[in-house]
Amino acid sequence: MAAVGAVPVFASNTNFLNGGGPSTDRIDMIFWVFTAIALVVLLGVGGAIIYAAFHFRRRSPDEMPKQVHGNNRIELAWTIGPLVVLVALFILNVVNVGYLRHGPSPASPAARQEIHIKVIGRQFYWTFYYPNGKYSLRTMEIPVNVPIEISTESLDVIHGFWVPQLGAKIDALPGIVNHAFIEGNQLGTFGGQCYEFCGVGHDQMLITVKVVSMAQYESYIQHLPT
Amino acid sequence: MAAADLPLSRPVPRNYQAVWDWITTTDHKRIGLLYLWTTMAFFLVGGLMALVMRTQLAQPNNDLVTASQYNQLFTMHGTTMIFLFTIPVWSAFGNFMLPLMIGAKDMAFPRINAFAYWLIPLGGLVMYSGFFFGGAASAGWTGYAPLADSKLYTPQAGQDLWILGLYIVGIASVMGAVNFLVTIHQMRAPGMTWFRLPLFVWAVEVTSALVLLASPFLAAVGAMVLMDRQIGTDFFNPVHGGNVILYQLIFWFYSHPAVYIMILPGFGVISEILPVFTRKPIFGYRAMAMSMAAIGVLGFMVFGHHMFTVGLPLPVQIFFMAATMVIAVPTGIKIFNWLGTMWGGSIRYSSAMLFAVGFILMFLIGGLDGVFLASLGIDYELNGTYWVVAHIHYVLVGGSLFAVFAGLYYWWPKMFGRYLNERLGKWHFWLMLIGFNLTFMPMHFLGVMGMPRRIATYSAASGWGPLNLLETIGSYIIAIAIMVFLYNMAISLHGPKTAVNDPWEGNSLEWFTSSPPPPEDFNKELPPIESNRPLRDFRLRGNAINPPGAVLP
Repeated sequence: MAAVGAVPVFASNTNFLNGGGPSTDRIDMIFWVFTAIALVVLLGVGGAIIYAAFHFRRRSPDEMPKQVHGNNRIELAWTIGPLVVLVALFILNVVNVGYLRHGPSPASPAARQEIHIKVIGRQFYWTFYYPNGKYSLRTMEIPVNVPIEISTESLDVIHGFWVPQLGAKIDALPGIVNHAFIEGNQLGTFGGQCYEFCGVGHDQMLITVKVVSMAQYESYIQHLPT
Repeated sequence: MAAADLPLSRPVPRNYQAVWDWITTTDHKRIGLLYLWTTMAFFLVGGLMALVMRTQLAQPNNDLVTASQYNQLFTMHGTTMIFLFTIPVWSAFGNFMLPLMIGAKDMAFPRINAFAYWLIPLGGLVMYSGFFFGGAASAGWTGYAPLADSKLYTPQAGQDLWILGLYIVGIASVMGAVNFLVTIHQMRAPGMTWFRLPLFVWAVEVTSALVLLASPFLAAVGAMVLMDRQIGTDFFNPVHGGNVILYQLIFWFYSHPAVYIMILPGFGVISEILPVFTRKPIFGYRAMAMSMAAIGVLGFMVFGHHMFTVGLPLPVQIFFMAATMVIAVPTGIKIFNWLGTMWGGSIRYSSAMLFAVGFILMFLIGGLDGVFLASLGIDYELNGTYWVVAHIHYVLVGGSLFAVFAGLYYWWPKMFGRYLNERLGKWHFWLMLIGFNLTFMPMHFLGVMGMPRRIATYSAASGWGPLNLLETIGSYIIAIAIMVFLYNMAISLHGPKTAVNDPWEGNSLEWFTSSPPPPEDFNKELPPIESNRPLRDFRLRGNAINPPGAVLP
């Protein structure tokens, strides 16, 4: 999967296919299943259309093809066939969606050391509040291998919080608190920004997330302003 | 008798008679042409705005336009292309062709028809007037609350004028829909039963039903936003207990069906063109008609898929994912049945047929990349990125716009009594196909690379530069393709009127009458209607529709 990001033209520290956590691993798996099926359909159906387009060209002006009005059996097949594939894709999503949205279930051991970070969006920057009540602007540090519970809210218009390589996107709404989860399982710096159009500074609402060791995280949040 | 023939109460100076005749016309064909020229003009304006945006995005940190100008540009580009081009351009085809196809003399309500048309340029001008009053609307064509809902965030009058403009074109589309529905239900020629209707008429029927049921929701949400902005109500103001998600729910209850309002008539056009140029009946006529009806019904049940990241309860999200995936089934039936129509046919490649085949391929891609967005797990990533921009353009440009061009090449002789140049038509098609894919295919990759939509610029470090440059080059190729088409139209309209009644061996009744048709459409008795290809039946019984030795394209 990481091979995609190695192609220079696709290289980007906001490419979710170069995931940096367990959430993006699942997302990438779903994405590649969809891509494989889409490519098969595209090549199969698109190929058949292109084949028909060339093969059935009119060769003489008087040519009169057989007048086929339809075929119930074939039509039923291409109604049921796609439905079966879609049901499979639906199930693939349903079994993963709870995890992508809310992280590991509370019963699992990893959840016990979950850290909650409050994300506040406003025109045009992000503020991150840590469990000790201190905050940082635009850049957030999180410890490696710990699920981070994110709650988002906005102080003005709707913003969209997303760090592509660490988890699923969630909107920051005024008046409503939303919950999401991110997790990094490798050290490094990950990019993100606002994904819901919010006005003239929309393109400047960048997010930088540094995934660091637990020790470094604890020292980092001690030295932030209150 | 058409109302156009009623005497005017006041004499008009002779010099202006021709202009006055166009302004006061209630003839469905003239109104169709008015729709066509008006929407084409808006299309060019919307296209120019797109070119400015693409130029701005050609390289990182570009400052051709400011962020504020960029926001107005993409808002007005989207609004123009949706509300002033794609939705009303189908009224051009519907008005001109639908009465002819069902063997009627005019639309059911000619005066309402004329009134509805005149609201389109009026609505457009009201929206555009914002540019002269402190800036046009700048909250995107979706106008989400609270960004568009409060003068705190969008103080300009253009934001209010935008809502008024939407109201005006919304009234036009409801009036048009009622007119189409009554025309289809009441004015079909004897023998034109439901399952002998041309599929384009089926498409207009379903589209009109969607317009009629959905538009009131746009009107409602527009009124609520206008009151929030102007008289201090708090429907969507979170500070006083309003709910910002409510806006999106009502807005998408209109705007998702609106996507089908834009694409269904295109399905109809393609289903008209394929049988003619393959010399075969449409494969599975009933399935084609019923799949459009199914898409119409399901189209009302999927609006929540625009809101997968706003934090709706998971069961609700899963319902909308299921409904959205199910709508891929009737859509798939259409693509398979078009393939079935081509299969074993005798395909003649006029420009209309090229655009029709191009439509099927591009719409196939637009359908497949849409299934990614239907998936919750993937939409949590791709929502709000350029993947969405790619998807909407594969559906509405590769889909609707290609169908508009297919329809224009197909029906142009009937509309104007002249042929378009087929050689230029082929240049137009291939430039368009190449330019379109160069512009919009890389947007899928940019979406995966995390490029958000609606950003005025981006940093070089993002890595999005090279693909954006490629897209900009593609958009210029589209511009060249459009110029080839404009040139083609110009030389055709200055050429002689040589078009015969039936240049393509048509199946439906519009090809029975002269090109262009006389004021009351048919000056001779209609052929008997015994199948969904009445004109073909008539021709095969040995009746000549064109004069001997006629010039064919």
